[in-house]
This record gives sequence, structure tokens and C-alpha cells, in this order.
Amino acid sequence: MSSINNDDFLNGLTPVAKQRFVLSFRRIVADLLNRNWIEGAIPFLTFFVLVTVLLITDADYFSAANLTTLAQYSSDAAIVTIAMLLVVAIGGIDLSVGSSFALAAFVTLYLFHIAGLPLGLVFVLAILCGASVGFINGFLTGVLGCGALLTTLGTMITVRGIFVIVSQAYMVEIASSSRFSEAWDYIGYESFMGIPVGFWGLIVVACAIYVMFRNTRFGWHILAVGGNRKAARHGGIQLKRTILLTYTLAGALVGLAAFLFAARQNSAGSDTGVGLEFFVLTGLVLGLGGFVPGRGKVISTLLGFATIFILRNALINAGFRGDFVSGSMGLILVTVLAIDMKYRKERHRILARAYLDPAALKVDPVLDMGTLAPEFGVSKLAGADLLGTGAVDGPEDVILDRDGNLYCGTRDGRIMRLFAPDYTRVETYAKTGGRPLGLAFDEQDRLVVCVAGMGLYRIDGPDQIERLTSQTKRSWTSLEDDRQIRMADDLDIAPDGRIFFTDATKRYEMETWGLDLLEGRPNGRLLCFDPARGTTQTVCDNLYFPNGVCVTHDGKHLLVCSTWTCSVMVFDLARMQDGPRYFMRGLPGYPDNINRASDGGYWIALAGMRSPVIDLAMEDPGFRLRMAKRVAPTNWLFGNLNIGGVLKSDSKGQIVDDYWDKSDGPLYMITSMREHQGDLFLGGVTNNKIGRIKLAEADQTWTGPESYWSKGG
Amino acid sequence: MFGRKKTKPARILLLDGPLRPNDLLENAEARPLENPDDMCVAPDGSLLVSSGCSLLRLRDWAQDAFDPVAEFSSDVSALACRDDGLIAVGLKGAGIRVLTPDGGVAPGWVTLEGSTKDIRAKDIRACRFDPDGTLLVANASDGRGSDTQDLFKATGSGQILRLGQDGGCETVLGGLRFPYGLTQTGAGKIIVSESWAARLCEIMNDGSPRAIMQDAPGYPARINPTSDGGYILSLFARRDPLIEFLQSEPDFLNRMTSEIDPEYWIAPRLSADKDYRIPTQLGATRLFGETKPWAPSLSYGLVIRLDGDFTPMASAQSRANGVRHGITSALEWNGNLIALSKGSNLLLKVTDMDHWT
Repeated sequence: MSSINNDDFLNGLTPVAKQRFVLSFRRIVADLLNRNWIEGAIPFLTFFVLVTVLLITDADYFSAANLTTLAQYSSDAAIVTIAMLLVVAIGGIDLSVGSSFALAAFVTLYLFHIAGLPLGLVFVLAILCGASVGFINGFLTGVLGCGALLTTLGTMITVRGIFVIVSQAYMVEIASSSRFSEAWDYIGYESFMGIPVGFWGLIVVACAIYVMFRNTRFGWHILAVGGNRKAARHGGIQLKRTILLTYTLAGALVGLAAFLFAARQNSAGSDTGVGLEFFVLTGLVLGLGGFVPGRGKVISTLLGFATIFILRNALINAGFRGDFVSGSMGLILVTVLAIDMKYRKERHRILARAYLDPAALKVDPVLDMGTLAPEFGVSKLAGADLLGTGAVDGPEDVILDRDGNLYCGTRDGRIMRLFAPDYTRVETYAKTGGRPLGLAFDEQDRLVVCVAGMGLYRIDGPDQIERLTSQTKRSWTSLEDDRQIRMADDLDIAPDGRIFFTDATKRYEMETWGLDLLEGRPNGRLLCFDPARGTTQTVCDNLYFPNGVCVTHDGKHLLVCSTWTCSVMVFDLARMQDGPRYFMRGLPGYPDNINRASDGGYWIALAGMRSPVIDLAMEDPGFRLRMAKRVAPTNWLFGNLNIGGVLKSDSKGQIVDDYWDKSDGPLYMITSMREHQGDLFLGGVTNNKIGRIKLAEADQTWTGPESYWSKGG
Repeated sequence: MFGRKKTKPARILLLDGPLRPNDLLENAEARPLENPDDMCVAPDGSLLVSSGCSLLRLRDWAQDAFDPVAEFSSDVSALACRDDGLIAVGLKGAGIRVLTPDGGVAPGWVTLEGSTKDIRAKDIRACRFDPDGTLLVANASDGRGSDTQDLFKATGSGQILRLGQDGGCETVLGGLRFPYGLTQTGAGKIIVSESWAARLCEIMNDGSPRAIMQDAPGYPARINPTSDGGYILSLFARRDPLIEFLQSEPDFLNRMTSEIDPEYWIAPRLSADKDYRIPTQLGATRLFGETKPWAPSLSYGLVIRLDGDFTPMASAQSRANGVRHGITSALEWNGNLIALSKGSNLLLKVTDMDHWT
């Protein structure tokens, strides 16, 4: 048996040019748009711009004294904003916050000054007053199912009416009250650790609500109901209870805010809380970047509120008229909503347009194979036995165990077992839930499988499936989070048990992998899972659709097919960091899997064929980009996946044989092949059958498991 | 994202309504015929068909073999018959011959074999006798480069010529984009099918063309009148969005036409060959080994029946999973639709006339 374990031979091969990283403006835009924090960045930016402008125009604005004043006066409205966030998050709106705020402020003042209750009790009753208005809102909208806008408009008017009646009756009396309490003044005017007491209230509320949305069941329920009411109900969430509780909680927060306000102002006038609901809505909309239910972004909301509060404050300080300032607020509200609507509509469109980012890829010219090409060859696959026809949907890889049973993955996520000797009995061996692609047996005869969309899995027995890994380390050059293994494609196991497998593309999925060809960029990587340590490492990043993996016969090298460059690379297992060299290049088609042959050579499956035009298109990224935009996907120029074949190479990468079906034959897109006791089994990812041909000249006793792990096991 | 100026996508009639896909051509009766191109019905009711350099006659569909009529030095590229039996034969790159019904040379007519200053009839694709006895000839292109190269040119070089028995020859109209078919209306107006413009034109009295059917779903070839006052239009390939897109990509087109064998271009094709070097489209990928009939395809079989106003009334098709593609001529013969599939070297007789008429 010849071997490539010969340094001279390996050193004689051309190294594959190293792709360190991809730098592309288009990709940066696409990846940015794809990030979730990009929406949160907008309120942050607005706030930043405002602060910068103020710093330039008014250096004293951010003095300690002014900041303390701002904190003191902003805290009650900020708490109301958070209350509004709760209601908006559940998919409602609360217009009554202003009236409720005024009533609770009055109740606080009445109970403190006229009823003379102890301060603690006043505090509780103020919150209860707010909560009861919230409860009424929640009952009407959540339990009775009235529309939130009209219901809260109704409560707003009603509560305002009550407030006006009672406040007129008692205002003078309250103003002339002489009750004095140190605690009362402390809450209203003093600071604790340099921060006004009212602002401490805001900090506590903000932290609590933040934690509630992130970490509590109730918070998640609110977001679920706001995100999709129907789905939440189907998910078993009690809608009515959740909505009722949310409105009540929001009301309680309004009550708290009113208590703080009353302590600070020590009076309430007929204009108390008038327009408050619109002021906090403006802040909310600015912070959330629109009016979006199902989002509990406390920090963004507070940033939005701060922006609007400081802006109003600065405008008034600068001497603008109050009604002009109100008008500006309204204008901001409308503008943000309009931008948001446009952005939301266009975002996915911009993303879809920017995501596909073609680059020039010059594929090596097709090597001269003499008469080993489909146009010359006898169709050696014509007349192959067809196994499991109709029972296997998309056997990307096929493999045989020591007993000759045949295994393959299917499009619906199952691993099928076809029993030797006639392969007519077919059963489901395991269900993966993803798209099983590459298969390999380890030393203990357990099946290890690459599941696209999930990662690397091991099957210990029928329906006993165990995840080995689904993540690798994040690469520092990528804006996109590339930890997740997106399209685990093929694997092989080194003699020391390390599992080498490919993640064919980090940017596309099983359904859209074709776009990766149009992109023509090195989006894939070679990974290694070490079962002894349980770690996953990226061995070689930035490869062009790395696909089939095969440990050489001597167990010291690793062959990896690069589909889009029509080449096979070889790594030295002892010196992986040296990177790959070309084992074969200029193949006439797109290589998929690669496996050992009994004579010391290798089988290479060609999933499809190159055409001169697609090779030319690969050199012209602009053409591909415009085509992707202007032509429907069905009409995109593509590699010919309707004709495939199998090439056989010797141990040194020289093509020695070829196998093709007729151009309209049943074995067309061949993605894998395994030799077993003188037979060659052929799988195809879009086929519904497995081919088998006799290899008359091959070793009739050779099997894969024995070649890898010798006898026993 | 910051692309160049947008060009409007081409309008292409959908295969719907009367053009709804069917398998009439795929299921038709067939006779093998080597390298056919054009055909016409002689006054005696027999069918004249071309096969490579030969002119053959078929008196009856059931007849065992074709009767030879005449033999030429180059491939026959157009055929027409006059009411008195005179036969006009266009030859690939070699002008035109007019024969008597028994195959002898008719005197008086020019052969257009050489070129003059204005007339370079190297690519005659259709001819038809005017009722006044003169011969109308469609010269599709200047004959420089291949047919598909002509498609990718911006302007047309096709002409309509009129030849007289007195040896006269005049240009009726020039600048056409690959005139591939010719017929006349009952009122005597000349109708031209312009392949690369995917339309039918009527030549007005002042000699200018006017479109009477546009945005054809394929590239129109020969057009022949029917007994009920309508027409049968054959289309040799379906228009493809990728080819339309290619026409807006001059740089890529230049490289493709200069660097790649024309056999493997993105271009309309006559035959449904499956050579692995022929470009394919994503939607044409087979599933479970089957070619989807609706798959995009560079070749197609399509014949459309038009009424007297050139409105499509019915169609006969061979879809992407079929092979009877590249229909260059179709006509009515003895009450049947006869189509000539250059792509599969077959003469077809559609028998399922219920779906046709």
C-alpha cells in the first residue's frame, strides 16, 4: 500500500493561499444590520448628540448642581415612563397616567395634610390609589377585552374629573396646612449619597423592572403577550391575568411617582399631570425607536426619556416659549415614528440586498484528464443497482458498518438503516431534528454524524443520540457572532480519536447554501472536536465551502474537499497550524465527500459539474451581484447539479478512474460514496435512492471500519 | 446596494391562458428526420420538408420513406411554394434557388449567391410568394458570427427582399432583428416575425414596420397561415430571464462570446442536450432524478395558434422535461398540426386536436 506519509511528497505540493479574514464594506453593513443591538443604538446616539451639543453651547449645563436639580425633577416622570413601558410592552397603551398621577398626588397630600395619617400609611395608600386606577384599566382591557386606547381615554377623562372636583374642595386647606414631618421633607428635598431621594426611587424601580423583564416568569409573560398574543395564549399563558396584573403594576408605579411628586411639590394644581401621558410617550417612542410591543428595554426607554427631558429643559432654559417647546416635542414624536416605520419596512430589504456579498474567485482551469471525462467515458454508473428507492429522502452521506448494514441521513432529519444483505428492509435508526449530512464510525462502532443547523452528534444505539458540540470559539475578526456551527457538513476521525469536521459555510443555511456559491467567498472552516477534553477548536478558518473530510490511510494526514474551488486540500495532522496544501486541483466538478478506497487511493464524489460560463461568472462578482438582485432565484446561473460522478485518485492525488451516469440517468448529483467488500455505494443529497455498483478489481474483503479501526472494536 | 442605473426587466408574456403549458408536442406522433429546418405545403397537397442539403416530399403521413425532390450543395434554410408549383429554396450562406415542380431550375430568378453593395443574402431564413408572383425573402442577419451572437447585438441587420421572375431584386425593409418568418394577411400585408425582438410586425404601406404582437414568450420563427384565416407561429426557444439579464451586461457578454465556445454560452438553444458544460439555472436542479417540467430551460418546444388579429388562441408545447424542442416551423396539413423539431430531429404530428382548435 503506497502512502503519502512522505515529507518530500507533501512539501512538493503547493500551499493553499491563506485567507486571513474577509474585509468588505458590504459585509460590515449587513452584519451590523443583523445585530440586535443596532436598534438600541439609535436612542443612544440621539442622546449622545444632544449631550454633545449642550456641552458645546452651555458648559455649565452639566454642573453638579444642575444635574442634581435635573435628577430631582425628572424622577417622577421617569417612573411614569417605565409604567408606560410595561403597558406598551404587553401590547397596550395607558393614556390615563396623567390623571391617575394627579389623583394619587392629591390623595397623598390629602391623607398627609388633612387626614394626618402616618407617612408610611400615606405611602401605601398613594400606591394603592394608582394601582386601583390601573386595576380598572386592566379589568376593562384585559378581562372585558375593551380597546386599550379608548378605555384609558375614558379613565383619563373620568379620573381627571374626580381630581378636579376633589382638589378644588381641598386645595386651599392643603396649602394652608401646617403639618410638618422631617421624613416628608427628606423625601422631597434631600439627597442620599449625593443623589436625590426621588431619584433613588427611580433607580430602584428601573432595576426591579429590568430584572423582571430579564429574569422573571412574569416579565417574560408580558413580553410574550405583547409579542404575539395568540401564540402566548397557545403557549399556556393566562392572558387576562397577565394583562390585569400588568396594568395594576403600572398603576402602582404611577402612584409611587405621584407620592414622590407630592413630597417634592407639597401641592397639586389643576394642571398637575396634564400632558404627562404624551410627554412620557414621546420619551418612550424615542427610546424604543418606535411604538413596539413585546420589548422590555428599560435602559433604552430611560435614555429616550432623558433625551426628551433634557431637551425640553434646555429649550426652556434657552428662553423658548412653553407652547413652542410642546410643539417641538410633538414634532419629534411624529418624526421618530415616521423614521421608525420606514426603517422597519426597509431593514430586511436592505439586509437582504447587502447580505449577499460576491467576491472574485478564479477557479483553476479544468485539468486535462485525457479520456477521463463524461463526454468520453463509458457510463460506468449506468445500470447500477438502486437501493431504498423512495424510502430515503436525500442521502447526502452513506456509510456501512462491520456487518454491511447501510446508514444514511434524510432530509426530514432521520438516520435510516438499510439491512444487509439485500437492503430492502429499511428502518429509522435515529432522529436528529436537523439535517444529517456526513457520517463516520468511531473506534467503538458508534455513528458520529454532522447535523446541519445543529452541530456534531453521536449515536450510541437506536434512538440514543448525544450532542458532542454545537459551538466553537468566536473569531475576533468577525462582526457576526460565528460561534454557532451553522452547517456541519462532513467529518472523519483521526486515530487518536479527534474528530475533524467541516462547517461548510458560516453565512448560509441548508436551504440557502447555493447563495454561498454566488458569493464565492471563503465562508467555511475546519473544526476539531476532542472527545477526551470535550473541546471544540477552529483548526482552519476562511475556507471555500470545505466539504468532505478523510483521514488518509496512514492516519497522519487529512484530506478536505473545497467545493467551490474544485480542489482537494491536504493537512498534516501533526502540524495543522501549517495550513493546507493542494492535493488535487482543477477538478471538472464540485467535489463533495471524499473517502478511502481499498487500494490505498481515494474516492471523490462530484456533486455537480462546472461549466465554462459559471467559471467566468465566478471571476465577475459584479455580474453575480446584479444577477442576484434582478433575476429571480430560479433563473440564477448556477453550477450544473444535474450531472455528477465519482473520481478515483491514487494515494498521491492523481486521477486514475472516473464513474459517470448517463446525462439523464438516476445517479446524477453524487455527494458521497463508500466502498465495502467490492461494492461502491453512492448517495446523493437531492436523490431518493442509493446506487450500488460492483468493483470487480477491488479487494473483495475490504471494509471501512476495518480500514480505520482494524478488526474487533 | 449602490448599483448602477436600473434597467427595466423585460416584459415576457406568461405561459397562461391559451398558452398554458401542455404536452401536445411531447405526446405527438413523430417521424425521425435528419437536420430539418423548414417545410411548406405544395399545391398538390404534399408536404415539402428540408433535411440537411436535401429537399424531401411526403405525400401521406403513413408513407414509409420521404421522396427525394432535390439535392443542394449547402443546407436548406427556407422553403416556399407558389400556387403553380414553383418552389423557392433558401440555402445556408448560398442565396436562393427557384425550382420547377419537378426539381429543375426555373429560369429568370436571381440566385443572390454573391453579394452586392446593399444586398448580402447570406442568412436566408424564410421566403414566401406574393400573390402577384414575386418572391419575398427574409434575410435574417448579415451572416457574420453565429445566430446567438446576433441576439446580443444592439441593432438588427435583417432585411426583407423582393425578387421578381425578371431577375429583379429590391429591398423592402432593412434593420430588422433577425426576421425568421414571413407571411401575408388576406389583405396582402406582409407579416414578419422578428426573433430577437420577440414580436410580429406588419409592414405598412410606407414601408415601416408596426408591431402587431409583442412580448412573445419565445423567439418566433416561421409563421404560416391556417385554413380558418388565422396563423400558426412556431417559436424555437423560450425567452429566459437570465438571457434578458445578460443583454444588460455588456462586459460579461463580451468575455463570454470571445472566450467561450458558442456551444456553452448562456443563449437560446434548439436542443434539450444535457451536456455538463451547458450552463444551468438554479431552478433547473433535478429532485429525485426528475427534471421539473416548469424548470427554467434554455430550450423549449412551443407552437402558438393565432387568430386573424394575431391574438393567441391555443398552444402546443414540449416542456423543460421534454426533448421536442427547437420548433422552427409548424403548419396545418390535412387538418393536423405538423411541427418540425430541429432540436430533436423529428417531424411531429399533433393528433390531439381537441386541445388545439
